[in-house]
Order: sequence, then structure tokens, then C-alpha cells
Amino acid sequence: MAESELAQTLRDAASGDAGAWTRLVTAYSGRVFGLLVKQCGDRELAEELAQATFVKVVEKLTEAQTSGAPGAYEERGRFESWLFRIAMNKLRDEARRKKRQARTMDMSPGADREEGSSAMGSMAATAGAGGLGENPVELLSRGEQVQRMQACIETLPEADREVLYLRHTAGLSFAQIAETLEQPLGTVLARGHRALGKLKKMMIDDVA
Amino acid sequence: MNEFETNNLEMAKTDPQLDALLDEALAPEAAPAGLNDRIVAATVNRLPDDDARIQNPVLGHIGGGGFPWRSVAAVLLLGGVVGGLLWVGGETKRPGGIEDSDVATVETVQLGLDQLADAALQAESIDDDIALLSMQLSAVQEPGIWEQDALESLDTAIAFDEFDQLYDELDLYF
Repeated sequence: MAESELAQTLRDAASGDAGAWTRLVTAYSGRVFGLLVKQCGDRELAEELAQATFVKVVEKLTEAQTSGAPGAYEERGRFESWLFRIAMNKLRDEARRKKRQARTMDMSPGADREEGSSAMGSMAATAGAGGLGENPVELLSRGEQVQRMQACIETLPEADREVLYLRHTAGLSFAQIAETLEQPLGTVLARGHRALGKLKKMMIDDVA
Repeated sequence: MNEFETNNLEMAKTDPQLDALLDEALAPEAAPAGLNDRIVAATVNRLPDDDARIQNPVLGHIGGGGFPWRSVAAVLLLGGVVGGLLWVGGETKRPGGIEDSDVATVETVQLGLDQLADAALQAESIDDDIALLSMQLSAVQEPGIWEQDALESLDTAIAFDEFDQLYDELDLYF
């Protein structure tokens, strides 16, 4: 959705235009759901959190329209950052709630880390048997490379993974990620580049 | 947040192959069928209703059948006057009558009475403001030839912060 169209749609939705609100949900629900399901690994929970995210969005939009209350949304061309920040906060709230309830539930994508690690080991063994070229990763099929990459991502610290998910799953720019995570841009850039470096090294080391 | 130009940093891809692989590995899963409909169904009733916003129920309660500010002010003034008279009466009947030292006290009472009178006038003025705004609000809520005028009056009242001033005055005196 273009910036000017988004601004108008937001105004219309805040004024009570159900059509505009539906367009907004249609434009963003997929990305919000995609980000949430990548992070929590549970499609039902991701849908629940996506719904909670949009409930919060509509509340804040309405507050901005009727009262300008603190915390109400103020359109300054940063809707996406704001939207994904709400989604991330919902995810964190849920993780905290689960933790408080002392349920055995790992919210991190590394929940199946053991399985992923063994998969990585298996792939490394396969690759080793096939011999190594200058860039051994290229000897793997594309599907294997993707699987390996997913397994490597799961081993990264959560903060690094967040940046990667927001960048590659939600499709945000580094500036938007900085706003979403409420962190300095330099920190986010450094974290992103560090994560890429680690991934590259892991990919090659595992095969070699 | 940082405001400097970041385009160069955004575009600087250290390894296009790695980026492409990451895009593929982190591609979002397809959303479940009907997700949009379910989200819209759960949220659409939270959108503001146009009619409800124009006929704001909170503003509608101001004035009219609201709190009787004028009556309260009158009671306060009457109480002050009666109290002052009783005090002066008591003093004059006291052995020795009113002495020089009591003059200052009488003056203080007089000052208090003046302040009460001012407060009463102020309250009456506030009461009138409330009545005026109430009329404007009532006119806004009733369709007819006055609707546009009433809306403009209300806009003017809002533009000149009349509601805020009114609140400050009420807060100060009551």
C-alpha cells in the first residue's frame, strides 16, 4: 500500500469506515501472521496474537481520532513500525504469561533445536560424503541449503533472530526495524550484519 | 530515533547469495484461510460510530439538567452573609461591645464577604457559559436549519478553548 494511500486509509478507518479497516487488515494481516508464526512456531497462537494485534491497532486508532489520548496512534508515516511493534509486544506478553504459568512451552524458534541440530549434523555428514569444493555450501541442493540456513538461524541469539525475522519475514527496512524494536539504528545494523557473518561461517563450517 | 540518511546502509548487501537464501529460509508461511475475515469480524465493531462521535454523550451532560452551580453559589453567598451578620451581632452584644481590636476582624470578614460575592458572580458567569454551550450542543444534536450554525458555534467554542477555560474556572472555584 502506497504511503499516501495508507495515510488516507488510516484516516478513513479511524473515522469508522469499515471498508478502509478491511483493506488495512487485508494488506497487513498476512505479514503480521507470518512474523508471529515464524517466531512462536504455533499457527493457532500466531493467529490469536495477530487478532490481538489488530484489536490493539483499532483501539489506538480510535483513541487518536476521538481523544488524542497518550499512546494513541499518530500518523507520521511510521505505521508499519508501529504495527509490528505491537505484534512483537503481544508475542512477548504471551511468552511472559506462559512463563508465569510455568507451563512447559518454549516460545523461541529453537524449541525444536535438538531436532534441528541433528538435522544439521545429518546434512553435514551427507555433504562431507559428497566431497567439498571451494564453497562447500553450493554443493548442497537449494532445499538442503534452505533447511541448513533455518537450522543455523535457530542457533542465533534471540535478539539477532528478531532482526532477521523483521528484515526477511516482515520485510521491514533497518530504519523501521530500529523503530519497531525501539533501538538505535546503529545497534540494529550491527546486529544484522553480525548475524549474517555468523550464519555464513556456520553454513561453511558445518559442511566443511 | 536516528534521522540520518540510511539508504546506503539499507542497500548495502554484503552477500547477495546469503540474502537470497535468508529470504527463502525466512519466507513467511501462508496465512490460514479466512484469517482476514476473522480479524475483521473481531475488530470491526470497535470502530467508532459516526453518529455516536457527533453526539458526544459526555459533552451532552454539561449544562441543562446538570449540576446546579447557580444554586450552590447562592447558598454559599447566603451562608457567608448570614454568618457574618451573626458574628457581628454576637460581638455587639458582648460586654464591652466592639473594640478597636475587633475592627480588623470585621474588615477581614468584610473581605471574605466580598470574595464570596465575587465567587458568586463568577459562578453565575460560568453557569451562563454552560447554558450557552449546552444550547449549542443541543442544537448540534437536533437536525434542522440551525445545525450548521450550531456546529460552527461549537467549533468556535472549541477553537477558543472555552471548554478548557470553563474546566479551569470550575476547578478553581469548586
